[in-house]
Amino acid sequence: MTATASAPQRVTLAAARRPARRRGLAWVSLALVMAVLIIWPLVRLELRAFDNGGDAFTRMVTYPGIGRVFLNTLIVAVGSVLIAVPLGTVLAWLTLRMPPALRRVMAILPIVPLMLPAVAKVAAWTYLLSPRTGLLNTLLRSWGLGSGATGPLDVFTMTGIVVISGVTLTSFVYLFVHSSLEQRGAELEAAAAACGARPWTVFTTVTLPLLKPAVIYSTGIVFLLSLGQFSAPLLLGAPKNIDTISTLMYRVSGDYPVDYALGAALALPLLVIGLLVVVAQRRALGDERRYAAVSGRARQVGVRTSWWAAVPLVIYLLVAVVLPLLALVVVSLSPYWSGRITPSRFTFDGWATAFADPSTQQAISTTAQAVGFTIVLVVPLGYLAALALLQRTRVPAPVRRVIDLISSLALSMPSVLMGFALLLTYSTPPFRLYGTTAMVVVAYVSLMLPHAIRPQLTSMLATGPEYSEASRVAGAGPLATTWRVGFPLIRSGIGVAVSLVVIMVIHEFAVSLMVTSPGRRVIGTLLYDATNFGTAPQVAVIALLMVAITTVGIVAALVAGGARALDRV
Amino acid sequence: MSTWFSARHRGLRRSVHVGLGAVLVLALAACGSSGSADQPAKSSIDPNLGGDAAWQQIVDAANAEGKVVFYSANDEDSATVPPAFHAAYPKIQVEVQHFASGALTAKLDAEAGNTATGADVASHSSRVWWQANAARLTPAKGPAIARYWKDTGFVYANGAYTLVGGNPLGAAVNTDRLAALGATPIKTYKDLLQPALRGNVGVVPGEGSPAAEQWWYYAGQEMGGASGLQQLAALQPRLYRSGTTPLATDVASGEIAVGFYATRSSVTALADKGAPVAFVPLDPVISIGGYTGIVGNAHPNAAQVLENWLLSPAGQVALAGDGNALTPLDVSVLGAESGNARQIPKGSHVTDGVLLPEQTSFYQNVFLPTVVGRS
Repeated sequence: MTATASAPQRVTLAAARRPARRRGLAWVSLALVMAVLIIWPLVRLELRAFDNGGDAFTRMVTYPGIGRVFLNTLIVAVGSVLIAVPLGTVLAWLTLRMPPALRRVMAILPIVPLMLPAVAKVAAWTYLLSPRTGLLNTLLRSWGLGSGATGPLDVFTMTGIVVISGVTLTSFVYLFVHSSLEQRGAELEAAAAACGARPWTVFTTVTLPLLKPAVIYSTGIVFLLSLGQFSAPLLLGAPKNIDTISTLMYRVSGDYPVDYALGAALALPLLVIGLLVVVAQRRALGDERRYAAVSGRARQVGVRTSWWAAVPLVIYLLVAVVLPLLALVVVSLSPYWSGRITPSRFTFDGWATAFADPSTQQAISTTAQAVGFTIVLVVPLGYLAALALLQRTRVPAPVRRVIDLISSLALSMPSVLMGFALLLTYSTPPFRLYGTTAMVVVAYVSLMLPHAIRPQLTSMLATGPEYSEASRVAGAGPLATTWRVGFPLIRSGIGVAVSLVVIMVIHEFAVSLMVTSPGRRVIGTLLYDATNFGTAPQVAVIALLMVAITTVGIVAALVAGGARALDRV
Repeated sequence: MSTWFSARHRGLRRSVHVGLGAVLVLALAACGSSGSADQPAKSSIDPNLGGDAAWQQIVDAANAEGKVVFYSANDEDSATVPPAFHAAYPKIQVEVQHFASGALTAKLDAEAGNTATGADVASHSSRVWWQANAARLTPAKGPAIARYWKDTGFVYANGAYTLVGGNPLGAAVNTDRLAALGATPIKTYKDLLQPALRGNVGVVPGEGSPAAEQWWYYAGQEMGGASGLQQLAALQPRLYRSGTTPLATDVASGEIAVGFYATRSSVTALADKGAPVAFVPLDPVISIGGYTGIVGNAHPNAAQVLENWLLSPAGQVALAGDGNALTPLDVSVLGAESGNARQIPKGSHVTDGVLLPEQTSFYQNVFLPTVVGRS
């Protein structure tokens, strides 16, 4: 009897284990796909550094001026952090000190600089702050500031590179800190003030400690982004021989023959620092529950508001967006860059030339294709990875940890390093994808995967499992539940993911320079080529075109993702 | 091999400047200082002249392919090649992609083995690359190479690649600013070392481009060697790593008064728009050599047709007829409609990017530390 009873039981348990095993294999496959996309190219590149007994390291340390290159990289990274973190934090804090009506409009504005492509911003600042002919310098000299025929400011210096990098990265810090401040409300500060604490005491003993996770996280992100900063050192550092690791790696990629081993040796410190920063961030934050605020629904109570709080934000927008855009518009309408604004000579020749150029049309077409294919591939992949990261899903813990690690690692890698690794991997056998749109798409999917995961994961965390469980109880299968319940619930998260991918792919520049062939230029590389071979009006026109395409892409993604997605970009 | 070619080649190898091009330089100076680009001339000589039935089959097959992709390091080719080639072969669309030689060779290497896409024909200055890849290149089969280039000595590896032209570099001068600085007119390399130009000079250091490094070796000798470069460094030159167009742009705007290592085409394009800028060829002429060959096989017949056209009088007039680039051929070969085409001065330096030890040493140990500030 016992034997006859236990046999069906064993069959049932085995049958139950089979789908579980299949599910486990599916999640392992997902982790493998992510590893192939992100880890494998990096490993393949770094193994090159150890070819021939690691003589690439000898070549690296004997490279002329290599010490200065590493020092420059560090100065750019630390300098950018010192500008971006305080500035972003102050802007976020001031936003919440504005009257509510004003806040609703102004809160979104500090992230507008992210819509300007990096190359476009840098090019614009050369028109504004070239020592002799920069429009701002000319204006400042006319006001009696500075002496002689040059200055008082010079964008082609280390200071210029650091300030432009720092101002650009301020938007990232603002995003994290503003989000943190808004979520936790101001009740604790109000309570401290009610107990008699002075404003400075409230700020140092309540506000700053509660901001610690956001500040630490954004400091790490800004440090890593500025460590791999590429556009500003490449375009502004050349006149005074200011190289960073990124620019040196790019030059190595253009030498004949390409010295992948030297590139890998140069990349290794960036790789190691990236890993260390990710680990340090996690250790510093520890258990995030320590920073939880008391209220379930945050309120900005007891906050004294003032219209004056908008002034620094307006100045920031003026510097980061308005001035560069105005410079680009003026130059795009000029017959050539003359260092002067002469409306009587304005012409649309630059616009006509750019649109008539087959390269522009081809680049827009390739960019559109690459964006489309990337979204189609990376958003579902990000959805699956986000599901895997949800604690409530039945994903084996080691697989979950691997997926988490890969997505964090991909965020911490400088673009130039990824570009170099992707070029090596996909231009050689067995792939030989160089010259095809497929190579561009594979590269973008590898780069964009982390950006497609986070917004969808956030939406999933916010919605909870109840609706999906109800759907399953009512008899719907997993696919039907995902289609009818899961997707609609995280629609805004998908919208944000698509928006981020659109922005980042259109602005992508460092990887594109390496993986795109002459016949498969994207709009970012077209802009860079224009800075090398084109006229100033051509540069300005393509830069403005990129801004326009980015805006259209974001609006389209937000329409699809719903109006609330705008707040979450 | 002609005697003057031998002399030129020895000049390349041993850095012996013969200086037989002075008259030509003066003529170029007269053209260059006018500040306007000449209209490209158009040759009526049939590029298929001398072609047999087998060649006609290639032309027919090329027409059927309908497209050819041309990578060029010469900044003018994007504008000049498509219309002129289209006039000769209206059924074949030529797509021209422009890159600096260093980036171009890296991209050609990445494309190697990829048969579906990429360049069919390329033109760039790094003969080292052409030598290393000669075995995988397809030799030119058209009639032009035998008809016009047979004894020139510019055809290498059994027709795998050919010296197709020379780009004479010089100075871009902002005429308004130069006058305001009180500097004397610039005609020679040493004229660039005037103390009056301090803080107003820009140079393209050309790191990573062997042809550019070789060019600086020759130019450095004309300036007086290491001491000349020290004088140049004392002027605190601004470095333009990204190339000749940004240099010309900054000269045109007045950001700098003089740009050194300038191409005529980049300067005259701005002068034509009203910028106070002029190209000044320097005496003696030092040109960047451009080599062409068939590098891919996505459009094998159209590649042959384009390569043949580049080597024909029609192609040479399109490339050099505006006087910006120089042709390796005797101008009389190009016919009566050669426009302002000029031959590379006999005995002048034409870079090939094959650096001799003394050239590498000069660039690495003298030029880079002195002018670029890297040791």
